[in-house]
Amino acid sequence: MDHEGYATLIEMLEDRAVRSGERAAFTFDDNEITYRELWAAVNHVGSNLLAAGIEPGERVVIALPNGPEFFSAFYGTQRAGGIAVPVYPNAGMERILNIARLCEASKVFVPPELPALMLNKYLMEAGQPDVIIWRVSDCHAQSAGGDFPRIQPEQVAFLQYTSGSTGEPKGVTITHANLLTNIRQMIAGMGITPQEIFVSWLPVHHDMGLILKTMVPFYLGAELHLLPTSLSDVRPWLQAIQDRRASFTAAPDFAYRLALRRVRPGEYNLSSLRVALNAAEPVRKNTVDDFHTFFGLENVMVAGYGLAEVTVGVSMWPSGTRNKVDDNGIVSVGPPFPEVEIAIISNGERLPAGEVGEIAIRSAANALGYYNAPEANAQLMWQDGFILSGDLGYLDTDGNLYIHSRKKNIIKRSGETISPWEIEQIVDRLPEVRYSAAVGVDRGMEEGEQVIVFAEIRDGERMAEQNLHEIAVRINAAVKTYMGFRLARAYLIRPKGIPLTDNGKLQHVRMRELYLEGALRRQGLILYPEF
Amino acid sequence: MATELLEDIIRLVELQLGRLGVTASDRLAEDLGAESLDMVNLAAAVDEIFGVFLKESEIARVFTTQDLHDLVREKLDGS
Repeated sequence: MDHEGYATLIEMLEDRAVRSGERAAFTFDDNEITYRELWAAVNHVGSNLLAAGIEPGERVVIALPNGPEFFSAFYGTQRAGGIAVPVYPNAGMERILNIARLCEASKVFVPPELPALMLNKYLMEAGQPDVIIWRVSDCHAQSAGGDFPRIQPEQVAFLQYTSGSTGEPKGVTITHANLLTNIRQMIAGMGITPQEIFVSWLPVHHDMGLILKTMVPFYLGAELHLLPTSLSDVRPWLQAIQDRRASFTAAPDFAYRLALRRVRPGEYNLSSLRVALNAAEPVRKNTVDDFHTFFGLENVMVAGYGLAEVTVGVSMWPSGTRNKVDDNGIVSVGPPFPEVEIAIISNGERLPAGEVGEIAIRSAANALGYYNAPEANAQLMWQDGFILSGDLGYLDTDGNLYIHSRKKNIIKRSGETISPWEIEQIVDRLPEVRYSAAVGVDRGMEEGEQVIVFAEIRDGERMAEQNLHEIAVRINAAVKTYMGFRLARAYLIRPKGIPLTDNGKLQHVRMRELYLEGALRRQGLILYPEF
Repeated sequence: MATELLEDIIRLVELQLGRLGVTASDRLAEDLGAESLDMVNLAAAVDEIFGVFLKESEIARVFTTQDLHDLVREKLDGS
């Protein structure tokens, strides 16, 4: 079978194992995993799930970091006819179990090091005693290996959980056909060949890291070197590009900025790179220019655009050609991939080239919608099969896309979409907090957009500074425990300091303006801290 | 004065890392779980409060709360 013929991911992996089983599917931290080993691990987990009575289409949450176990659980679930639900593994168990509740999953894969006693306590506290916690290492040899169901292209392969501006996270339902369509669109649009060498540290629980950086190489049988996601040190990433003579890497803008700050010119030779894709958060012209100058490269860093609701990839500037930047300094994300159509719309009408409106996308890779969320689905679909992205932008007369801003009230932190609502409901649980507003603020510095929480405190004016300090610390701690990351800052605000609409809705945009203009401070609305 | 600055730095670390009871000898990464973006945000806060810009190479040498204090002290005295 040629890769053109693959109809499902399972077929793809089986074919790779049969035809080139001794070849490396990928390396992780320099350990090689062959296609035969990968396929055996997938079957091992799959047969365990079958033996445990997994139902067709049953959701299985996968809270595992980058590494071989992720793939065993992810594809093992699909092999057994289930739907994989990858989630951010560093989030707190409460958030992971909340996703399990939202998608009605009864099994959650976790890393081997999590103590069982603690997990069982969580399950009881969360009121989900029926959820079964699994570890890949718990799976044992099963005799029945041949009873796997036949997987169909229209079956849902996985749910990509993503955050909207309001309400709980929503799971985009992605079928095998969606994935193979988008994989082919990206290969054609990005000019990827089987000779490509991929290096990636992007998290595999998330679409760009999962689909572009692991499924595309599996599909083509191309070389893949996968790294852990830690960005506390950018050196292993650059070192791997240099040592492996990588031709394709991808990251959000902030990661490239970190790399530029942390190494010396000439320290790494990245001349093997054909593509350094910059995507998943706004692309800064400076980052692109500095990257080329710093590493002595030309037309290698290109901007791209995508979203989970259309599987992942929508467009990328063609590498090897000079980036286009408009008068406002916006770097073009290029023309859409083949068989992907973009419309710019406003008030239900398509706009001509040059005018800014909401970006709508039509493609065979468009997802069916969100799992179990009819209202959100109604808002997602425009007409004639177009999906509304929630992003604002325009097309130039050559059909190149420029991303202007966001329509949806969401925060983009380190390339991941964060819902203000999800953070606010955690902060609002603190008894001292009346209500809170989570806002994304980009100060134009290296760190990119960061989350700041403003929390109105009951009787805050009468509290001693030490009490205020403790509340601010507890807010940050609560967010870290649930979401798995910290706030850039928690500001405690006087009562009525957070602007609301007449019907009591938080005005996030206004809040950000008041903060950036310094008006909060001038009007004495910030109780703590003093900076 | 030195104690006062140390207290300020401790409170700042508590605030940025969401931990109470931080001590001078606590290691920011190993003991308090600071990640790379936390360090960047911490440095941004130091800049806002003390008007002290910390270079990447200087932050790389900060392991404990005390180290951060010493670096800020050195910069304040030098300016």
